Amino acid sequence: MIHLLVQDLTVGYQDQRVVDGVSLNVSQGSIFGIIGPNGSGKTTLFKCISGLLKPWSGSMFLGNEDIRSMPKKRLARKAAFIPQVHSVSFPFSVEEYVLMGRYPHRGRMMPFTHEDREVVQETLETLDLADVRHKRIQRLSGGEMQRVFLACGLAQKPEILLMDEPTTHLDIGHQIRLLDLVKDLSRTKGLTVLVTLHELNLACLYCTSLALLDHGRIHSQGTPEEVITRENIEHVYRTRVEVGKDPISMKPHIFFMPGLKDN
Amino acid sequence: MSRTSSFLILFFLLTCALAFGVFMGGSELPAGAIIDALIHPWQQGTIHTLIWELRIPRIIRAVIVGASLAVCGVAFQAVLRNPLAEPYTLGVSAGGALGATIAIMLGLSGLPMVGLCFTGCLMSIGAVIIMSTFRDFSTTTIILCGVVLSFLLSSVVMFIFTIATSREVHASVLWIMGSLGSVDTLSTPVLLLTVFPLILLLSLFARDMNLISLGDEKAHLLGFSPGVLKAVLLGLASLLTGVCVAVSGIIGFVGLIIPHAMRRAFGAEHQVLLFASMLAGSTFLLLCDTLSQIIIRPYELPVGVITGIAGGVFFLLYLLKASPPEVI
Amino acid sequence: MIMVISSLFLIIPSDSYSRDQLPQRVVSLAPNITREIYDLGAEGLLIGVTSYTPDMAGSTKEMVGSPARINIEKTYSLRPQLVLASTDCNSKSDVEALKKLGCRIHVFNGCESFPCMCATFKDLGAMLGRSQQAGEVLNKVRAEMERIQAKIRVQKQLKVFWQLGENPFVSANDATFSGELIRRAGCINIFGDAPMHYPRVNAEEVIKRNPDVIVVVNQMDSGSGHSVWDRFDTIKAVNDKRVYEISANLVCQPTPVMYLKGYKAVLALLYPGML
Repeated sequence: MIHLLVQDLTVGYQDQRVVDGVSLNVSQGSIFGIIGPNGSGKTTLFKCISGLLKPWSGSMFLGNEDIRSMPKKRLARKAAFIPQVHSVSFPFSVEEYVLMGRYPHRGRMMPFTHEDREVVQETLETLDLADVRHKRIQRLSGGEMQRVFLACGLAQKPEILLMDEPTTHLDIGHQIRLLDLVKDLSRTKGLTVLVTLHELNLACLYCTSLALLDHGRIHSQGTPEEVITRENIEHVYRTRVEVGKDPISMKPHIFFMPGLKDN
Repeated sequence: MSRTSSFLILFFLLTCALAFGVFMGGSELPAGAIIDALIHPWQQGTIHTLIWELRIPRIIRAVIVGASLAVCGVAFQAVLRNPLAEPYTLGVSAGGALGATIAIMLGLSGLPMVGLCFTGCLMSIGAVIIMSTFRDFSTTTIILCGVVLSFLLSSVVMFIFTIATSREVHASVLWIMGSLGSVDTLSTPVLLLTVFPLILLLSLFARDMNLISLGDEKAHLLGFSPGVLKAVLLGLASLLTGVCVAVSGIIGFVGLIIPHAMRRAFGAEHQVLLFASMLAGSTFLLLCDTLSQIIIRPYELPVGVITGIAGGVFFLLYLLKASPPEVI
Repeated sequence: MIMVISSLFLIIPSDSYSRDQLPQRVVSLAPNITREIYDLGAEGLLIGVTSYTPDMAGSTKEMVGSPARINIEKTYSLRPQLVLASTDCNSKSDVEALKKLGCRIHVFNGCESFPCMCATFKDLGAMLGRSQQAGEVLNKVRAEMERIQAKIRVQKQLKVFWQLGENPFVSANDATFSGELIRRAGCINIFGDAPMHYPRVNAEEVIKRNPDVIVVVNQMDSGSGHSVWDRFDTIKAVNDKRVYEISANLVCQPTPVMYLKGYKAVLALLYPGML
């Protein structure tokens, strides 16, 4: 079942077109990865789907609803967007920050309910943050902070989770742990995940579907096996690679070839 | 230290400040007579008049203005996402100073002057909001417009100074230095009536302040409209600042230090922060005002001098303590 | 080349004159000095005045700026033989600038007392060759003052609160112009002993010191009848309805003639019917 449908989306900044006629089918419960080189429009696409940027043309549907005409709060209850850059200028504690994920569910003047507190508790435990709940965010390590941002998103109890480059600034250990967690949530709770990733091999390991962006256009879309081919990667990333199979996961694996020039 | 005990301490300090203010004022009065006047408010006499018509209204004003300025400071720091922001960053004070200077040139005083000051404040914040909307309503734009307007209005004030008599200049400067000592009957009730709903409204936006302090994007993603939010919060906070400035001139530092100090003690959650700042702001300003009255009794120092020195010392100590910065 | 350079260094001073010769071209940089020149009947010598001078000078004399900010070039271009300034309202830098350009400039010290004003007036008269007129004016003023003093001696001494500002309340101590005025009126200034000239005073202290009369100095030319003190009827002044407003213009002019005028105005409030 298609959870998120993007049709012919075009968007850009001022007079520069960055995303050009992109269409995506994201199935319920899948982990859909968007990959592509720097400047291919991944973050812009992401911002547009989350409502931060107005599309120039095209449409986006979450379930049967048009995202553009959805009231913001309703969208926030169904979809959690976790952007790449977070600025935290003030000393919120982990628990306070995660609790903000419940805002879309409560009116301005309505106090938090028992359910809200439970959701926060559950989220903190799932993400192994219960011990640092009272710590101020700025005092956390990079890995912990990333988990806090994710926790805030999960506290929204969304149907779909959208993450923009969640593994940047994380070491391999943290990267794996985070993605394992996401995969687990997707499996156990049926959470649909749309994630933009830099690391191609990680994308192969975790994503059920991929879309490869090139200069704002979809170069190819499908399963990792379909998308990760030598021709595709070489064409889009302009570097020589070999594509093989990861012997452990049996997923496609890209081998880099440093030193060889493009011919 | 738990939050509850911190709050208890704040309440205790406020009570002490109130007692300090009642027993120490502009003139030396025997403690026994003061207590007598407090217990029997309906009696007549010089001391009764002093306590009930002068001292207590002044204490009330200090408490209200202190709480308001602190709350405004919290709001401004949240919207502008900057712990160094304060209620006068956007030029509200310059507008008030212009209004006051014009009032003095016209020979007005009392309520008409208050009205003119307030109008000045309103116009300056209106100008900032309109100017910012013409470009984009981003935080940087708002701050820039505010700073520019502040300079502009200050220049106009200085221009007026050059054509005014030295008496008028002196009177304007005195007003600008701030004073809680106005004696007219209307200022305290007017203050109460206007401040109370404004503070209430601002408190309702505590969650919004949490979000907006994390950025426009975060607010957006959790279902809020940052543009509208910023305008509303700035508007309310500026109104509140304007009321305070119109009644008591420009009293600095309260709106800067108190939110800062309270954030260190209570964290950034705005529901808690607002309430703590109200208490601390009242206590601080009340203490400073009482000190301004007793240091060279029976003559007064401008309360802004005391808040400035106290604020400066506090800040120095805070900086020297070399704890990890709260700001990224 | 040398000619050019040396001519640059040559600042031609305004027409100098010997001490025997009296100045025919005078510029006054202070409104009170301007007034005094008119009192001396020497306005014919005046070629330049500042703003805030009374209407008598306005249309016919050249304007050289405001007392706090003199237009140096304009002043110099008038080629005055004598420039008169006061430490009260003129800035030191303006005076120095004119001195550097070679203008002959005399700076009078600001006066806070009547004897000082009279001395200044006398010196000014001598400077402009009007010693006789100066003497006449001073005699007249002094005689009038003495006449009034005699009448005051029999009056009851009053406690006066001299209010110069409202929020905050500002008063004047004995060492000021206003303070001297009150003393000459035979009254007691309740804040006369303040350590600073213009103290900010607390309202409580005013009530405590219970003045017989309150004089509010402001822009009004006539009282509105109401003041912030109205509800504090424990104050004798309020109870007796002796809270007056008086225009700042009347009581802040440091010339002998104006002092007398202001003095009489204040006395009219303090002791109605006496004069």
